[in-house]
Amino acid sequence: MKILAIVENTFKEAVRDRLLIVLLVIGFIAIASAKIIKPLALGEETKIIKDLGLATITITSVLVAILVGGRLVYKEIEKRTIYIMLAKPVHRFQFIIGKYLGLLLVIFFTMTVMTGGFYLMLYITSTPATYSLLLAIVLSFFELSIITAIALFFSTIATPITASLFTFIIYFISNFTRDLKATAQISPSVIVKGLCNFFYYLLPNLSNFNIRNLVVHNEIINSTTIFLSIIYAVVYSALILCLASIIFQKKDF
Amino acid sequence: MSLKRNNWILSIAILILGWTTIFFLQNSIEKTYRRKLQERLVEEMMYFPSGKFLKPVLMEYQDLGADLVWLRSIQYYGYHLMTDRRYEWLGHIFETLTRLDPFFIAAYHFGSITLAWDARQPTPAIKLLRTGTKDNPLSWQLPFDIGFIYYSLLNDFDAAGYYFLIASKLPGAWNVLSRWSAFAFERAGKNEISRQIWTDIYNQTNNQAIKALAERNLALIQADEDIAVLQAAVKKYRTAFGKYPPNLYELLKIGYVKYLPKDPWGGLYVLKDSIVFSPKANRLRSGK
Amino acid sequence: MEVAVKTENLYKYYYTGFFTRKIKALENLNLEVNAGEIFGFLGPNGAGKTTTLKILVGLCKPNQGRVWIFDQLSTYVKTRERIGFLPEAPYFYDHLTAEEFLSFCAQLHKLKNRKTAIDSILNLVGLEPARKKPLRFFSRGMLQRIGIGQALISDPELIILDEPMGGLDPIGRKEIRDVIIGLKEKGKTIFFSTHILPDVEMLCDRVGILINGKLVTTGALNKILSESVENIELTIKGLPPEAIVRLQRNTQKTFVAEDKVIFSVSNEEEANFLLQKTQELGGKLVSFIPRRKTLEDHFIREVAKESKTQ
Repeated sequence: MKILAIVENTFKEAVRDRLLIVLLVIGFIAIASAKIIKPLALGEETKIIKDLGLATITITSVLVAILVGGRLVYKEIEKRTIYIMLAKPVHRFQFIIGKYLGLLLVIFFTMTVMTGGFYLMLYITSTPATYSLLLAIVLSFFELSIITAIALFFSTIATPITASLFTFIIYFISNFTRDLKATAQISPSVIVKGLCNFFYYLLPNLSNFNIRNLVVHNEIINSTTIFLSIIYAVVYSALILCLASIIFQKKDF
Repeated sequence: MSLKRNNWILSIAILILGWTTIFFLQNSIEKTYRRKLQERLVEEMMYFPSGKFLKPVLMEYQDLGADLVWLRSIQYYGYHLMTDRRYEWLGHIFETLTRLDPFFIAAYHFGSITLAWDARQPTPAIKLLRTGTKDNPLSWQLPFDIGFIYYSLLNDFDAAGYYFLIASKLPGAWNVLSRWSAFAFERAGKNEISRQIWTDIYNQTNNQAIKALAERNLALIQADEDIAVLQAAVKKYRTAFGKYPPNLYELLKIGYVKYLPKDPWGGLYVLKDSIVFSPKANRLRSGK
Repeated sequence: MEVAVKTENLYKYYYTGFFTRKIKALENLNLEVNAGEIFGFLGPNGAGKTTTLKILVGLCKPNQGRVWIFDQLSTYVKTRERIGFLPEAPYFYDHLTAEEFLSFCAQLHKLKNRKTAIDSILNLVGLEPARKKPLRFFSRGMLQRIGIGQALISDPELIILDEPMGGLDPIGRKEIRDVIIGLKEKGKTIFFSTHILPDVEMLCDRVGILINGKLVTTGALNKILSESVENIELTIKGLPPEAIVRLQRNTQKTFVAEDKVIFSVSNEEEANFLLQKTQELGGKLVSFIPRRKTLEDHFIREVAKESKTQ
């Protein structure tokens, strides 16, 4: 399939990008630093090692999505490599989907590598690893599928720096959408209620995917919630990609 | 070209359909949680073992973190104020908040007032305030709040007078404080002093929640006084006629009372057996 | 005769400065390219040649008008299956090797025998030795050749080239010319834009001249350059100086070199007269060259004409 060709090409390009290696190294260092924390943690090492590991995996992947993804389409347009591709019998939306899946593959690769390092660290520090840790990582991946879509969307309309910045801002704010909803619930003003609700449903509710807290405290996780959250991620990402495709379709080169 | 127009319509349709799906999905996700959003937001904060650990994680952004916790505490309080009036987590929230930002005077102030009067937990409230005074020895607000709780809720007038005195000596204090200190020691008319203090609090604060709370307490004091007057009239009737009046209107007819006051919420006082009470005030007090 | 490319009332505008100024890139372009011919698309810089080519391959959309590729509307992605395109000063994924790049392009065409296609293309453009070399190490000439390669990999019927000779040395240009001629012999249609007029004169069956977004000339090359001779140049040796002075009066231009003199006359009669005189006066004819109107003359004249009407 033509999309697969684009996926493969995107993946190859990103993996050979030095930025990815740098981010991976930083991530590993962060995970490894958990070992040093032990004496400082006053008995809470297990929690800290798990917290640090899960957070690092997510943050490193987010950085990859934002920094590598933000450049993805813009680079093609700027370097005009895109002329060759779009003059071929390829639909514009195939290009977008191919780039997205390629980037997602890179994220998957990043997360797998980091998870390997994380489990290694768990083994070294004799911390018990639970099945739910893996679940937290999987949910994190779906969180990232949304961020990747957003990064790709911005990269079709803005320069890399702007795209990365916007994606990061949205990522940050979207972690606190629950507070928006809570404010909407208690605010007496209709305008505030309306605005808060509007943004609550517009922005991706990334807290759906953050079960790190629960996992670290070994709480029970509702499987319906997880299932619905995954569907949410798929639908949301698809929607963003639709939007990106529409905009990309209209572009003149 | 109609192809173009069709494309536009199709695109817009997909987008609308998509976002409607998202809307319903998100709501369904919310429903799967057993607990309310506000509870979850606050519970999460329980997992921060102490401000000590949170501080280095937040690095430069402690204040931002404190602000977020402040927001969540208000959301939590506001939500329960409108619904069940049960504030199980209130103490913990403010403890977390004040550890994150020990100089956040408003947090001690608001936290202790709501803890003491709304959540009926005067002792944790005082504990919170005492912690605050350690980091903010020059703040008059904190010992004042301690004093007021002792005075109004715990009826420990010596302690109240003591704290009012401390507060009065600190920079920026209201100059009435030394007067109240004296009143406290003298056990002068409690309701009158409380009323004055609540009125002052009402006038001085910019915090809408505290204003509302002050109003409520003023209303309750008013109710107490009215009830006392009515009750005395009932007793007088009993002494005079050997039985209790059938209703309060009788007292008005005879002239034992000049007028029948409405309760502060616009309802009427009733006489049940021999006791005067206001159905509304009781409801508010008990939180039902 | 099958029509490979047909444009109908094509308009393209650009807006600059916050939508205040409207620049007409193409104005009422009606162009036809027949199947199997080599069509040269000429014009000064900024005339709109690249814009036209981009519209043909779907990189740009016109504001008005339609385009047909082999009788199919160009808005359909399928038309591009029959097109091979080489953009101006192309740039490729420099992390890929020549082989990987061609393989990628082949996949985009859903080619069945990728390996054979890649091999034959690499041979055709002479890049077989550089097969495993990453594109970032390619020279300008090599890049141009791999560019042609990716345009040809799907064996398209219509090949569109934007300034294919750009930046190449004479050997490179000859190689590209040979490729183009080879393609024509296979019955392909070639549509290319260029500034280099001698190449056009050598290769094209028909040409179109685009000036300021308007097509001012189009048609067979021969018809455009009139059959009539502009002038005739005679190079004569061994005439005594007085003779030269006398004969000068009969000529349009005279140019005296070391031992030769070049007379420019306007028609054959005058040329014959000169020849006679030369024999009488003891000179010898070195060369007799009838000069036709060149494409360059025509081009410059059209540009001047157009700028007068602005």
